[in-house]
Order: sequence, then structure tokens, then C-alpha cells
Amino acid sequence: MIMNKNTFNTKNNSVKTKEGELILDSHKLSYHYDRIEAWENGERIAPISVDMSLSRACGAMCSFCYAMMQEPQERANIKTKDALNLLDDFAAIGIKSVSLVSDGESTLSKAYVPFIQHAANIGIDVANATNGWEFEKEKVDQVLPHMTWIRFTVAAGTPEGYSKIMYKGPEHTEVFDRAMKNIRYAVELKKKLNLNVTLGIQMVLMPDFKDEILPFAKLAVDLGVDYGVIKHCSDDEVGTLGVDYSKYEEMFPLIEEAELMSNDQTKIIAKWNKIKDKGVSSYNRLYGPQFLLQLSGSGLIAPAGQFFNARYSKFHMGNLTEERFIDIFKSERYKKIMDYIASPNFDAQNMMGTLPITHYINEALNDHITGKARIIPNNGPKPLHVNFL
Amino acid sequence: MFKNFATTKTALTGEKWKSLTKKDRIELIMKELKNKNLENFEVFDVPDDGRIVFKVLESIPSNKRGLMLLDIEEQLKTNIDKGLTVWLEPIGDKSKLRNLRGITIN
Repeated sequence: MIMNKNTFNTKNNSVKTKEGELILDSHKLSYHYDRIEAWENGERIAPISVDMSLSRACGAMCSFCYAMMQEPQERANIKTKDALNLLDDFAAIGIKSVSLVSDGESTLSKAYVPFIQHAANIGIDVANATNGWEFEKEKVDQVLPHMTWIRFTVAAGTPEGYSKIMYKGPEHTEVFDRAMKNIRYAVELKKKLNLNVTLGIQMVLMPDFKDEILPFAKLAVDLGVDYGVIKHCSDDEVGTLGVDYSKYEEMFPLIEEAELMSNDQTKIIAKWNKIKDKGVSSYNRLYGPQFLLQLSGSGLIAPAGQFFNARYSKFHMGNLTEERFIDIFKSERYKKIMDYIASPNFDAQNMMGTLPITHYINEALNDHITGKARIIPNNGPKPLHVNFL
Repeated sequence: MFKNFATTKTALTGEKWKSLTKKDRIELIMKELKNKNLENFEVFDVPDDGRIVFKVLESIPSNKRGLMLLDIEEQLKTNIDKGLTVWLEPIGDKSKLRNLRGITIN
């Protein structure tokens, strides 16, 4: 079945799937209005969600990888005990979800399986973005029943394109084969156990990859995952990756064609809002990190992943391997740094990279407090992954 | 209560700062910071836009560096130019594999 325009809810760009309403190209702040009120009252609020990694290590070498620009002064090793303490601190202050994404490949960490199981046991929703290379049967069996979503990074639809973008060259298709085998197993297990987990694949689109758009969509459908998402590529404020945002527009017809390949099982979704923003933010101040905090696989805590590099040391709050997260959260430095990025001393348009993970909520909170578009509490049916902003 | 600076203009450097030579800017900064015991700090770059990029010879503990650098910035803003901002020299990716991509951090 071809997805028609009625499949989209234009209000929040959600997509209707077999399992519920999926929001990838917007935010879910309206379902957490109590925290918005507390923030407006000047309270120190616990983030709703944390995006983090259990390691800085990764076996891939994706040409679009922002982690290349995220090297901090030190790389501490996050031990299993640190990771479990972190989750206990999250629960104590009211953090509702954690996604293992950020600046490393968390499946490589020894803490990976216990972290996911412990999060689920204490009521924190947990998710993961991974290249899937180390996501083999034994690991999948242990974590899949506990997870809300998994998003596999699949840079291209052809084995050669995938291996060129994510690894050493087009001849190294063994990495593609390995990833596909592991993704197919996860899809099978989900069906077999009727698990409540969303499985997706993601293409980080750079203009050079345009020939991979349609093969990517076809691959998503072939794998039988719940969605294939096409998103922009972020770059830092000095253009280190050389992303040419002016070239995205000429790819729009291909992206639209890819979306039409959606069927009942698999939705092809583009993050149009971010793609069309051309790397320019509409806001100057940064409010999103108070709601969605990022932690580095080096243990470093900073308001946003784009601040992990030593360049942004004035935003470094501490390291979770050296002190408990709850103490950092309650510290003067946490408040002072969050206040700074919300002050006229900071400008998101030229002091940080483009389209950060908090982009949708930065924009929504800015529009909210300037009165451009107030966020309205939503007490209706909850979308999928409501605790992941 | 929440302080709303959403529409406040970002502080920019004044003409006086822009008219100074690189040498004069560095001298001004070091003079301002001489009582702060910052032996391990060197000024790495001072472009017109107000960024002051320090090279730090010895790593500052992660739980100290944020507040320390914000304090330095506040002092420079107050005493030299409100548009000044403090940054450190960036560090390149330590992944040998990803370095094969040839990306350099400036």
C-alpha cells in the first residue's frame, strides 16, 4: 500500500504505524507539560530524557560521523558499576528515558547488556542506535525484550555504498552482510515474541549519497523493519565535515519518491523539518539541554554532544566515572552552565554546530517563551516512545 | 522566575577591540589575568569576533574547568569587552580508524 498524505499528521509530523503514532520529525514536549511549567517557574528541572554512550569506541568509520569532532580532554572507561549507578541516579531525580546513541558504539561496552536490563527493571525506558555489527544473536536475545526502540545506522542501500561510507571501502561488504544478518534476526525475534519494540534503520544523508536514497528505502522494506528514516547531516560551526546544505533541495524529489515506497509494515520517513532548515537555527538561546541532556562515552557530562570537544571546555560539568551524576546535577556548575547557554552570552547560531539532537525542542521552547507558538498540554493518547523527546 | 533572554541581542565586540592588533589583544588579556595563576595558559588565537582561544598546557579536571573558564570569561567581559568569549584549542579525533578519513579539526 502506498502511503498517502492522510498517513501524516501535519500538526506534529507523526506517522501512523501498525503499532501507533510515530513522531520522528518533531518533538513530544506537550506530553510533559508539568516540566515545562516548572522550567518557566525557574526551577532546576530533571531532564526528561538522556542521550548517551557507554563508550567512545567504534569499529566503523562513517564519513558523516559527528564523533570525529567530539574528542574531549580525556577518555575515561565507563565501568558497569558506573553505568548502573548512573541509572539509579536517573531514577532518583525523575529522568524517564535513556537512549544509547551519542559519541560511541555502546554495544562494544561490557556494561551494555546489564545497563539495558537494569534500566528496564527500574522503570526507565531504554533505546539504542547502533551499526549492528556487534548486535549478534546472544546479545539481541538478552536486550530486545527490554527495549523501546532500536535504530540501526544503515548509511546506504547497496552493500558497496554502505561499505564505502561506513568502512574502509566498497570492497569491504562483509560489514554490510554482518549488519543485515543481525538486523534480520532482531526483526524475526520481535515477530516471534511479539515484542513491543520499534525497529528502524537510518540514513544520514549527505549530498554525495543521493544515489543511495532509493536503494535505502527498498532495503528498509525488504528487511521488514518498522521504519527507514532519512535525515540531514549535522556539521560543526566551522564546517569541518563540509556539508553543503544548499544541495539538499535538489534531492527532494528522490526523498519524496522514497517515502512513497512505504507499505503497511515499513514506513519511509524523512526528517523534512531539519532537512529544510539548511543548517540554520531559528533560535539564539539554548533551552533544550535542560530537557534532553547528553553524556559522552568518555564519561564527560556537558549540556549537548556538540560541546564534548575540548574547545567547549567552559561547558564541561564533570565526569560520571569520577563523581555521581546526581551530585553533578545538583551542583552550582550544572546550573551556571545551563544558565549561560540560555543567556545573551551564548548564541546557538554561531557558537555550536548545526541541527543538534535537541533542535526540535530548542525551537519549540524558543517559540513557546517568545509567544510565537505556545506548547499546549496534551492529555490525549500517547504516541510511541513518548518519553523520548 | 525564568529569565527570558530569547530575543535579547547577543553581546558583540566593540570597535575598540576590533581596532587592536593581535599582539595588543594578547597583552591586554594576559595583563588582565596575571593575578589568576594561569601559568599553563597561552593565548592561541584572538580573532575579531571576540573569541579568545587558549591553549592549556596541563589538563584541568573536568569538574573544575567549566566554572573556571566561565569565571575568566566574565572577568574579561567586565574589564575589556562584553563581546569576548573564551574557548580552548580543539582536540582532534583519537580514533585511528576514523582518522583515515583525513578530517582535521580547526
